[in-house]
Amino acid sequence: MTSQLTEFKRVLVGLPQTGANLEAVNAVADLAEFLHIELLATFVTDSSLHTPAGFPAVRELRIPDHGWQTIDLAQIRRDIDRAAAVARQRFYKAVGNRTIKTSFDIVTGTQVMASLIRADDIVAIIEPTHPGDRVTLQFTAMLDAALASARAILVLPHRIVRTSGPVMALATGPEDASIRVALAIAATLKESLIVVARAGMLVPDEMLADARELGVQVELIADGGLAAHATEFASSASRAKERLRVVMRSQLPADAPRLFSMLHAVPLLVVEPIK
Amino acid sequence: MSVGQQRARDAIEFGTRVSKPGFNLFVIGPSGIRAQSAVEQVLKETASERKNSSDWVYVNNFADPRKPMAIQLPAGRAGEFHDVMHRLIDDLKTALPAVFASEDYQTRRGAIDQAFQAKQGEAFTALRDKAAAKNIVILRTPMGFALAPARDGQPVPPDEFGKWPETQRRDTEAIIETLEKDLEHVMRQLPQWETERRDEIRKLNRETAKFAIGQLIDTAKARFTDIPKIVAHQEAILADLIENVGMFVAKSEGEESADLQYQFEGLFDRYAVNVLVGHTKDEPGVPIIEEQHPTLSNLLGSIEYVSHHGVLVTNFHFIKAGAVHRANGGFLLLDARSLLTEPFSWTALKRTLRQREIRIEDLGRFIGLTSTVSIEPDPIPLDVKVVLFGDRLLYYLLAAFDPDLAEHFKVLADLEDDVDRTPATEAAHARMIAALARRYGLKAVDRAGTALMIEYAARIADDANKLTLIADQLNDVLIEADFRAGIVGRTVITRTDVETAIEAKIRRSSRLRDRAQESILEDIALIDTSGTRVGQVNGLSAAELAGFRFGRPTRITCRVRPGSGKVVDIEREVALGGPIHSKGVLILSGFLAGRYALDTPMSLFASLVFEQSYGGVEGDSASSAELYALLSALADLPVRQDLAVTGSVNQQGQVQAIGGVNEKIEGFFDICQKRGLTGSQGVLIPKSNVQHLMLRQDVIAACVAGKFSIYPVSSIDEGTALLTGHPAGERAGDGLYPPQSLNRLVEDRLHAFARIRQSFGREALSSSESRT
Repeated sequence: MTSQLTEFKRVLVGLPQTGANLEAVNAVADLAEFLHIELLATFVTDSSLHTPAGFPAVRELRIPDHGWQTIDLAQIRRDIDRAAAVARQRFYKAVGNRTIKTSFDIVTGTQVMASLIRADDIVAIIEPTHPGDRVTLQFTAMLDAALASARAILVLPHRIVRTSGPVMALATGPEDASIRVALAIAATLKESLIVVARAGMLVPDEMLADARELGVQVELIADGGLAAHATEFASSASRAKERLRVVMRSQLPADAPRLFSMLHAVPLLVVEPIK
Repeated sequence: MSVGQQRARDAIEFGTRVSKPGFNLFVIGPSGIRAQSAVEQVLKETASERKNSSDWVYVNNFADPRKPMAIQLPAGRAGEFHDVMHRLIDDLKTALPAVFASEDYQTRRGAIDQAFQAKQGEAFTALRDKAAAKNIVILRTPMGFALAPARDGQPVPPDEFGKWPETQRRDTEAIIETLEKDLEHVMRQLPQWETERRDEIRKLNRETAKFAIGQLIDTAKARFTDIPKIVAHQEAILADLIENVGMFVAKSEGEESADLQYQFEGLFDRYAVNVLVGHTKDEPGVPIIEEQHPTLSNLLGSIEYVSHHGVLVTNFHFIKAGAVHRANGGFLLLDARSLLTEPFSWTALKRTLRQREIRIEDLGRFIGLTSTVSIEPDPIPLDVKVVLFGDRLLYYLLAAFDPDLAEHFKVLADLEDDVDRTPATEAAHARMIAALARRYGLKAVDRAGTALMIEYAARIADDANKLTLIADQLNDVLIEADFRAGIVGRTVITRTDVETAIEAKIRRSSRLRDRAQESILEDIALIDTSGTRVGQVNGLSAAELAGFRFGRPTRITCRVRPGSGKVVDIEREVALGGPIHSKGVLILSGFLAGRYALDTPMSLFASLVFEQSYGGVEGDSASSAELYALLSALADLPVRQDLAVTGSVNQQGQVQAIGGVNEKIEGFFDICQKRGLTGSQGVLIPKSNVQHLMLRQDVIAACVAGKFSIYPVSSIDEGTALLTGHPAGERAGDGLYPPQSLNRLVEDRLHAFARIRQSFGREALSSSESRT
């Protein structure tokens, strides 16, 4: 059963130049360590920022003082360098003495980030802290790249409330890949598995047998609303105090704001159907 | 309290019953009188008249944590309050995380977060869509946001933009300018939205907390509706919990680390209760507390500190009660000497009595040892009777040098050292001896043993008609007698055991006495016990070392010759004589001047000395012996050396009482006995000391057998007659003493000295005139 996880060789996490949340980086590192796979952090610098620097009319609204300022290319570069240094420091602080292979790269341009994604990657996307970041060109491009390329995406909320608890699969049917992946992760993490499914759905006997073999306790929660969309289930999911949710790609909402609204401070692993 | 202490008992009863400030007690008496236990007994008898003491607790002051609040409760309720609050805290620890982890709360919290995220998201999405519709993209810089012209969703390079028609460029720039205003508007709304979100979550938290803990607090309050201050405190707890409930939410959301768990447990500490003074409901009377080590902290309580991350911190939990707290409402018993020898304690106690409230004073801060932030607990009203115990000297010194004593210790209870010996007091003493035996688990004392103990009590009192009230010395003998009886397998203490105990006690302490006697017997210290000598008298002195008193004879000699009327005290001349001794010698001059040769100037030079005395001499108990030596020297009449003398004398020649008469007699008796009693030996004592005779049995036996004598004398004339065998003689009608009487011989000698002096004066005058 853990073979469901062996297809993942690496976790690739994109660190935005606005700075990534340390807690989220920690969670990514935890997952990579539990799965015994490589962790690669990429700090994405944005070459498109050089563009507005050439327009005299384009200004920057700076968050700290809410003041407008003419874009100074040299200043932008210094800010990016500083952000990269901070990101590197935070990343290595988060990975600490972990036994997995870790590396930190700086890449330029979101397109490059897309080119780095491999089929055996879990791409980790960290929810931006600032609500405005979700609509910026850079973040939407990185998200789109991840959604378009990766087999699995780990979406991390900017605030994570739990680091222990069951793994939850939001399943659309008995053969849903989310159940198998969630079971494999639960076995690795030595947690129980909760399967949220539409009323009347049963977990296949074969899967229950696997769970017994792996020593994973399985609980089935019926939820009628799941058929419509996983997001409709989100509000009732917290009772289980799960540490991770697993959902099929098909259950994802179309846009970033809706995607993040279903997190509820719990990481979400998006998986493809099993081939 | 023992028989004979009625005066002190009346004082103690008055002091304990009067409820006005300053009427505290100072109990004085000889050391070893066991005043504490006796006074405590009286206090217990009167304690029932006082209302029960209160319990006191300290709780957190939510308005100002640096000033913990003191709450008074009826006796026995502090423990109940503590338990109720402890249970409440336990319930809160469970209930609060549970309610914040509940589906209902999480749903409502999630809804709030989502609503605001949606609001923010929608605002930015609308801006992005509006910008995209006009070929503008939103870019994120490291420090903010920017808007740039775009084509196919990507920023247009500046070169390309420069090739655009000028109108298009101006239009684009105008659009960017408009969108900048929109972006700024959205950005300015973010803090406001965040504030609104927090307010809504805070409101939700309060509602949730109120729902969860309101019932628990109400249950706790119901037990203390009769104590408004507790109800108010519990309401303050509710308000604080609601106000600060955010602290508990993190725990409820499942964040579990050891540090967080520690912090979580610590959050509830401030709702706990520090029971400063607690009584049990069925505790009789009021507290009677004796503090044997009255340091400032032990007396008035203290504030302790713990080290937290290298910093000393404290809170109301670290307030510790002192003896004054525990005794509040009752009695506090203190040893005055211990109190005075502890730094700051005496002053602090007086201050507390004056302020009539207990303020905990931090010794470390007093002397500048701690400079960390501390707390100022509410003072607690003081209602305590302080009973100080001390010896008389200490009391009188304090009374002389500390004017505050009279303000705070208005009632003096002066315990008697002894009691008149009557059948009733003897019976009371017998009961006391039985009581001591019971208290210390000793064997019973039989009749003869008890009788000897009573004799011993009289001996300690130094008076045949008194019995000592100093129980310690009796007790020591009793315990040793019990031990001796046990060795020989007796089940009761007999007279023999008491005798053995007394002898053993003396023997252990008598090494110096024995050495002194040894030196006399070996003629190192010269003392004659037979024959006669002119100008030489056996005086008697007593020494006391570490509670053991013994007497020994001392040779006193006198030499006379014509002079200017001066009696020289050699002890004083070499600064070995104390002032009282010097006074006694000067009295001799007065006696001589008033009795003899009244018609001529005093032309005497006499020197008096304590032979072989190399230490200080104090007291006037040898002044009669000195006078006998002086008169013997003047009259040239030998003095019997088989007699020894003690007693002071006044200018009229009356012999006056002295102390330690028994030991002095026994001291001379021992020497005579060891040399062999002749039957003529004896001691002259002041007649007024007869009542104090409590001699050893062997001395009494020797007297009864006629082998030793004790002569009570009331005047010098009686003494000289005994010592010289010559009557003193009364002045006759011609103004002269009878021939060959001692007084006549003395007066004749003084006249002779005067004549010699007069003749020397004439010769000197004539030789002076012839030279002229």
